[in-house]
Amino acid sequence: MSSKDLFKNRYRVIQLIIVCFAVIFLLRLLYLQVIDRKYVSLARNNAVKEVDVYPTRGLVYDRKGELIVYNEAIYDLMVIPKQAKGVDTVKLCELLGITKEDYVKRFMDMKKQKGYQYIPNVFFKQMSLKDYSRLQEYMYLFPGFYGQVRTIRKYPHRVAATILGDIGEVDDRQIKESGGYYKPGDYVGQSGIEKVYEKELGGKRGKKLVFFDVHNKEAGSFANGEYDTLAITGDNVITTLDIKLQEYGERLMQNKKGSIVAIEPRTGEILALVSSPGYDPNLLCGAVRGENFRALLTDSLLPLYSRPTQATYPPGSSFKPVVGLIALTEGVQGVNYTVPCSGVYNFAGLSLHCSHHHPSATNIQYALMQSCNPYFWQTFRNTIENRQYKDIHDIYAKWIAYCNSFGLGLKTGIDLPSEKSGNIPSIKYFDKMYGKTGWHSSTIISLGIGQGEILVTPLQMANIFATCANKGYWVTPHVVKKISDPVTGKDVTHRYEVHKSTVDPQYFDAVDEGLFQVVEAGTAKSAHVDGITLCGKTGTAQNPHGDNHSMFAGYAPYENPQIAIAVVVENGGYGAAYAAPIASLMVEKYLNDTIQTKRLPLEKKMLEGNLLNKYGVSINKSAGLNDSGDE
Amino acid sequence: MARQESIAGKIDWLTVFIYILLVLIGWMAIYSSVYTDEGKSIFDSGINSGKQFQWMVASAILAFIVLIVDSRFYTTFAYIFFGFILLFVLSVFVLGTKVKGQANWIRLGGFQMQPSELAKFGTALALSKFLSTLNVDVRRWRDKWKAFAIIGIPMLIVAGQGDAGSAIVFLSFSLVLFRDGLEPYYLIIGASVAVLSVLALIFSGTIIWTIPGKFVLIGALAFIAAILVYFNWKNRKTVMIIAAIWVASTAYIFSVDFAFSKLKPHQRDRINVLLGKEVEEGKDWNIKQSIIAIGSGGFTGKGYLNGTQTKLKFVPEQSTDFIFSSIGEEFGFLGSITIIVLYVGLFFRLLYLAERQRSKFSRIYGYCVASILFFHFLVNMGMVIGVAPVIGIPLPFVSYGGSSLLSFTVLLFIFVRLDTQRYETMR
Repeated sequence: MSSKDLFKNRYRVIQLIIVCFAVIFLLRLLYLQVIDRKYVSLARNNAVKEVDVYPTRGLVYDRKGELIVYNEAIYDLMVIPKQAKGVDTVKLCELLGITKEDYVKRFMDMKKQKGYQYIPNVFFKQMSLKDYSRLQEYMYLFPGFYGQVRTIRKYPHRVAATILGDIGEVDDRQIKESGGYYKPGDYVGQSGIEKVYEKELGGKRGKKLVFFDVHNKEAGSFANGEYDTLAITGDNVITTLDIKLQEYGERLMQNKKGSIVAIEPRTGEILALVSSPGYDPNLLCGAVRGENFRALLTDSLLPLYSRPTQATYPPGSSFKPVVGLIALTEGVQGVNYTVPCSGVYNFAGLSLHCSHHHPSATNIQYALMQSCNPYFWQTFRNTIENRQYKDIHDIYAKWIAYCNSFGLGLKTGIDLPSEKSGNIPSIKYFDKMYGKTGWHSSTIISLGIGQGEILVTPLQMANIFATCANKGYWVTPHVVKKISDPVTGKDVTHRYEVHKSTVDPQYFDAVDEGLFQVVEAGTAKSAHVDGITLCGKTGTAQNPHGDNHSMFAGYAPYENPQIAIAVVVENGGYGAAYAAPIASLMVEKYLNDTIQTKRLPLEKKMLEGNLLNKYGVSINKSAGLNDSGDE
Repeated sequence: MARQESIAGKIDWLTVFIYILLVLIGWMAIYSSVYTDEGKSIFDSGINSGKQFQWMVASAILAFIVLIVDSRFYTTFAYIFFGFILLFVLSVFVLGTKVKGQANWIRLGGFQMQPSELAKFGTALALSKFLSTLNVDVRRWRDKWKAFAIIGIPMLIVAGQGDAGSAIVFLSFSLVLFRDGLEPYYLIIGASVAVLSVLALIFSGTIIWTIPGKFVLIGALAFIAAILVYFNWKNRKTVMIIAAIWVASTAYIFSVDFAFSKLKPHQRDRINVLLGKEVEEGKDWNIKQSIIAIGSGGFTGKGYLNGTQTKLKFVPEQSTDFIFSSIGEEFGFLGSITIIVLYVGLFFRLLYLAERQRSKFSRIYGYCVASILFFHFLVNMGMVIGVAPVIGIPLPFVSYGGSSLLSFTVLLFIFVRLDTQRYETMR
């Protein structure tokens, strides 16, 4: 055998080796490319990502169509560092008003993120359109830089902060509750209308599929946008507020703590809801939000607290109409029931004093006009000691039900978050306090004049008088009138529940007459306005922590009520001192749109009234906050 | 002119055709791997495909020159070429610049090149020259050692420069030696060592039934040895050999463990990735993305310039070592078959041409060319489809890179030239 022949088969062996490896590779490729399909989805997950398209938030209008919340475009200056070569830094720094060191530092700060060179980084936050358009002229000098538009909420009237609310980043709880709809970094309403009407205002998020390269840079849309969905713009919200009246109310309440609630009695629409001190809602927008929120949170005057729906006070004399109406309905006394008033009321060993000096009341009208305490103590006693009932538990339960029918001791159901229900002390409460048989009409007598454990919110107080104005019913108070789809133009008007009070409507005439007399000739003469028949009742809530709270609640005009109002000025003294004049100014403004010349000094006095020293504050702290606006 | 025509008539056009096809496919794939939506032209010298085009033109000129030079030039000066190339490779220690952590590049005027590419070519010439010398027989120890030295010296120098990939390619010459008479058990021992290495690496560091993995492996081998000894009990010599092999294997398993610990961290990682062992996050990125690219290509591929892995740059080093992942993604399994068939066709054609040489030099040189190309194909493809560790060597004619394209072209066309003159002399 020649060596050539011997080695001939080695040629074959080498061919075999080559074929073996080729077959191994082909089998491996067959497996990778044809059999195992997981790589298709792996490649897709690599390259295609779902990007959210955020809708524009709905706008908010007042009852007259005035725009009160809108979106403002702001611009973030973005940069992709890898592309930022040959930038005219001097010009850029000059336009942005920053130093060269700041410029360098901003780039250094980006380095924390992995792959920062290839992805868009925020270089300069929240420029106004004006600043941005100035910058835009020179954009060709700044390769790698570009503007990215965002929107923030704007509140042109700078009032009604607690009603309108604010938007902020979702927290973990909200993400969980949304069932995964919200994602970290999303903005949602956090209070007020923004929160309650989040579903309507927020619109619906769209999504698009976008290619991203290995550096996480966008590289075009997937399948020409075939699978993308559009974002649906949020609905507009038309509120019941009269923004002019709201503004006026906030001005009247400046440098005072307290509330104003104005309701259109017939419809339950809130015309104004002043919480004082308030704050400029623009403070909680944009970049300055966090800092301002902390400042507001620690402010001793609690500006974030929505007093009209959350603060509770003993209603004092403003509660007397309810006490009277219950007694009349129960038939324990008539309209012309008389209680002699000598200034002192002796009862069950108690000796109670009337704060007013006046002739004895011979009917309920006069009693209301003079705000006679003995009259209403006696009236309450007559009601509670009614022999037709088995015992005090029985009659008191009935009495609570009457109060509830006025919306007291329960939430009114207003479309704002965190409303308080106030307090009508329960049977259980008294049983616990005094024992099951240990309490009598004398034990709870102070309820007759709206003192003691009874607590109401300013909103409930206004609601009592809306009920009086309507002669027996009230509509769930609300701040939103209708929702309007900006695309189709279709409106959805909400229906609100009508509540009947359980007192006999026939007695409202007498009570309303009394309330009219209060302003005409009684305790609230300071609230008298020529030409306007204002009805109401002053109140002075005893305050163990300082001066009494000044209160007034009422409605106008007597003949055809258009507005029911409640005013609380904390530590303002008698109802006639602050609350009644402020209420009268609000009513006059709403009904006549102007203040009579002869009442201007009163207006001035109210505007200038400053109670801050009573709250232990010498300056208006909120004045030191930063505003995001550039006006 | 007449002379050139006569050469043209004798050129093996099938080889040249496959060569041109591979270069063109590579060029398209390179363009795809650097393509972005900016839509630069394939000829744009700012991107790799444009540069590759320039190398292609240079290669064509070089191939032409190689074809018109008399093949006696290469045979006569084979040792001198080898000597100069060795010096050139050694000069890297002094003049070398670092590219991607490897100090095996040299800057010549405007461009960089890797002398290790030339070393393969020089070794092929020298080995062919030596083995074709009258009375040299690789089965004789005296000649065997000389042949080993011709292969081993440049291999060690290249390995010493940190280019493990190129050094491994020198193992391809064992196929040449095998064809020329080297005893088969060298290949068998080589293959066994390779298998044992892989097993040792898989078992090292693992724990099976509370026993360290390597002892389990040694125990398993002892069990196999015991069975073999039982059946060959009467043959003392065989028993001794079996025992010796077992002892050698045991020693080798321990030394693999030790050698592995001496590897550079990135080399350890590459081997661990392949063995499916846990590696630090991101260390297996390259191979993972390459496999995703190829796997997602499916049967027919995503279409040229439509591969998402390719276009969005998920595979690092794609235009050079990972070029096949672009072809696999955009042309699918059909593209993969095409590439493999082209290579296997080229290898078979080269072996066929080698076997028909009357000159021993030409035949051996043909085997050298086929073996070098085959090893590149083996290591590169194995890496890209995840069946071999990541060893950075190019896919011949297809990968981006001037020095590799030029040196493979010269390597191949010298053989094409030798083939045209196969009837002229018996060297």
